[in-house]
Amino acid sequence: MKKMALSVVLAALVAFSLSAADKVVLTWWTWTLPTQEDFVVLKKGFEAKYPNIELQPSVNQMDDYKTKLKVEFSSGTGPDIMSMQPGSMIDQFKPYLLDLTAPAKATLDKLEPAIVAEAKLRSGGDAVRMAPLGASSTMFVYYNATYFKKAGITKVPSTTAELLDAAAKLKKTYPDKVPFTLGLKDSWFNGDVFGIFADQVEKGLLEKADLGTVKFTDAKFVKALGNLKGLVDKGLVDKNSVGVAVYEDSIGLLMDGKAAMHVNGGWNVANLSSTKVKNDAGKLYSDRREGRATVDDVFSAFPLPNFNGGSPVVLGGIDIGIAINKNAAKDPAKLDAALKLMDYMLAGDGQKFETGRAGAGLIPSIKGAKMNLTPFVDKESADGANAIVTATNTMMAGPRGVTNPAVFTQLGVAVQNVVNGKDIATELKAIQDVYDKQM
Amino acid sequence: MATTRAPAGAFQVLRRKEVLWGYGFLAPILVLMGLFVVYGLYFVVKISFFKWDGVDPETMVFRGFRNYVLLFSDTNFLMAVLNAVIFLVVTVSVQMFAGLMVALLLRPKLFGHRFFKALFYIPVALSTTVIATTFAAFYEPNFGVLNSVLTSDFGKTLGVSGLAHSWLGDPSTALGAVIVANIFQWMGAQMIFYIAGLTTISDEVFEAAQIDGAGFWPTLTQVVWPSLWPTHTTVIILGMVGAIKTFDIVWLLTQGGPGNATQFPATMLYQSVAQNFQAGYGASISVVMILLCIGLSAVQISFNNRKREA
Repeated sequence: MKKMALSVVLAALVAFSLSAADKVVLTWWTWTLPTQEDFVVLKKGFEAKYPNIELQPSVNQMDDYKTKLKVEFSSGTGPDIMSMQPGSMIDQFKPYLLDLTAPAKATLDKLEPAIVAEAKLRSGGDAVRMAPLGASSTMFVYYNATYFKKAGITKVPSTTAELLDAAAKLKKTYPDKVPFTLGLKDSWFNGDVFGIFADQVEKGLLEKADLGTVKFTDAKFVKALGNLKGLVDKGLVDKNSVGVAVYEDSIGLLMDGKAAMHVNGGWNVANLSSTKVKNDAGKLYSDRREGRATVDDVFSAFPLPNFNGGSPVVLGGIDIGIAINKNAAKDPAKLDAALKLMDYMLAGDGQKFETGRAGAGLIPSIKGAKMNLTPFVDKESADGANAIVTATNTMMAGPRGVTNPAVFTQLGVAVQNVVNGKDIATELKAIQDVYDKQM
Repeated sequence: MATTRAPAGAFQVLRRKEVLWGYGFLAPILVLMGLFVVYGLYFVVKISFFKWDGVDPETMVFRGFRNYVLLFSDTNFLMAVLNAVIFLVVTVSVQMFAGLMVALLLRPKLFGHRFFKALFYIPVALSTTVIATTFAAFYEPNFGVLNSVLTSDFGKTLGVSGLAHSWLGDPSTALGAVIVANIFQWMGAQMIFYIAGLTTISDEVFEAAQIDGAGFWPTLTQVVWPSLWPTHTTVIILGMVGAIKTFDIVWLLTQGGPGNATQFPATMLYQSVAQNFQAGYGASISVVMILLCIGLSAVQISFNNRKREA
C-alpha cells in the first residue's frame, strides 16, 4: 500500500515537473507601458493563444528600470524581452539587444516601412534592435473647450498672438483660474521644451547639435531660448512654472478646472475622452476624467504654436519599442517564444488592445492602422485627437531628446535658468561644455 | 585550605575555544560586511579612476585622476558642497535648539506631555515621500496653502501678500524651502535625543540651580548645555552625515533645481549614475562624500573629547 502511494506521488511529481519544463517562461520588463492593468489582459490573451509560454511582466519606474537593466546586463543576464526608447536608452543598451532584422522579418514586414527605418536609425543604423510598438509626439496645448466657449474664443490658437489673446480672454472671464500652465519642474520634460523651441527655429536643429554639426552656442539656439524668454516677459509662461511639475501639478490644474490650458505630449490624448463613453471594462477611458470638477466639460488639444513664426512642429517618433535580449537567441525555444510575443504585440491581438486603448496614447505602427477615436464623441475632442494624429504624421521636426543623457539633463537646467532670468549665452555655453566634456 | 586547581594549560585551552566560538559567531557578519561594505568601498574607489557608463565592465577605460579633476572644476559640485554646508549649519542649529527647547518643556511631565511627545515625533515616523508631497502642496505656487494664506485678506492686512511666489521654483528660496521641510521632519528625533540626555542630569542639579537663583537661561546655558555634550555630539554627527547624504527630500521636492540651486552631492551622484550613465564620475563623488563624512566626524569627536577633558 505504501509503495503504491509512493508511486502515485512520484508519478504526479514527474508529470508536474514535465509540464513545468515544457513551458517556456518569458520575462518582460518595461516602464509606464504596458501598465500593470494592461498586462492582466495581455498576459491572459497571450497565454491563451500560446499555452506553452508563460509571460512574467514587470512594470518599473523609469530611473529604477534603467538601473535594474544596467545591473542585470553587467552581470550577463537581463530580462528576455524589454521595452526600449529611442535616444540615450537604446544607445546605452544596444550591445545587449538582438538584431531583429532576420528573426523578426515576418513581423517587421507588417509595419509601416518608415517606422521600421526609424527604428533602424535609432538602433545605430546597422541593425533593428527594437520593434516599434507605436509612435507619439510632443508638444500640444490641451485645453478646456467649455471655458474657451464661455470666454468667446472661437478659433483654436495657431500663432503666438492668438495664444496670447486667448489667454487674455480667459483671464478676463475666469480671473481666479490660470489661463496657461507649463510645468517646468521636471528635467525629463524640460529637455523636450528646449528641443521644441530649438526645432521651431529650424527643423532638426537639436538633432544637428546632438550629432555635433552645430554648436549649442549657435545663434539659432540663442534665438530659440530668446523666444522662451519672450513668453515669460509677455506673461504667458509664468516664472512660477519652474516650481510646477507636469504630473500631477500642471495636468491636475487643467483637469481640476483650475487652469484653462496645459502643455503636454500627445500621449495624454485620453484626457480628451468623453465621460459619457466607457470602455469594455465599463470604465472611463481616462482616470483623470473620473470625479473631477470638470467631469461635464469638453476637452480638446492643438499643436503648440510656433513661437518663431511659421507652422507648428512636433518632436517624437517611436514612443516605445520592444527588444529581445541577445541571450534569448542561445535558446531556440525561448527565441521562438519571444518572437511570438513580439508578433502578438506588434501585429496581433496585443497590438489591437494596447494601441487601441486611448489611455496609452500610441499611434499604431502596423500598416493601415489608425488610432481608436471612439472615446472622443464631442466634436472639439475628436478634432483635438485628430490634430494630435495629424501633427505626429506630418509635422515631425526631429526626435525627442539627445543621445548623451548628461546633455539632456543640462538642456533642462538651461530652460529653468532662462525662465528664472539667467543669461542665455551662459546657459548655452554650459550645455556645450557638458557636450564637450564627455564625463 | 586546599583548593582544586585546573591542570596547567586548561585555562588556555578553554580560552582558545572561547576565542574560536567568538570568531564563529562573528563570521557571518564579517563575511556580509566584507562583501557589501569592504568590497563595495573598494569597487567604488576603483571605478572612480575609470570612465565607465556603469553597464558593460569591458568598456571601462582607466583615466587616472581625471574624474577628480573634472569634479573639483565643476562649479555645480562646488555649489552642491556649499548647499550641503548651508543645509548642515542651518538644519543642525535649528533642530538642536528646537529639539532641546521642546525636550525641556516636556521634562516636567505636565498634563498631556505624552501626547505632545508623540505629536512632535510623528513626522520622524512618516515616510519622506509623505512629507515631501505635503510640503509640495504647501508650497504650490498657484493654489498652495502658503501662497493662498499670503494672498488672502488676512495676508493683505498684514502686508505680506507680495511675498507669494514659487517657493520651490525660485533659486533664492528653494534651498530654504527644502530646509524647512527637513527640519519639520527630523526635529522630533533631536527632541528624543535630548529627552534621553536630560534624564542623565539629576533633579538635584536643577534644584540646586533654582536655590542659587538661576533663571531659565542661566540654567540652560550654564547647567543643561554643558552637561549635554555627549548628546550634542551625537546630534551633530548624525546631522553632518545626514546633510552630506541628503537626497530623498531634495529629490522629491526639487530634483536639485531650479537650475542647480538645490543640488547636493547625493543628488549629483544619483543624476550622474542613474540618469547620465556616468558611473566613474559618480563614484568620484561618492569617494569625496565618504571622505567628507569621515573628516567631519573625526573633527567633531576630537572636539568633544577635548571638551570632556576640559
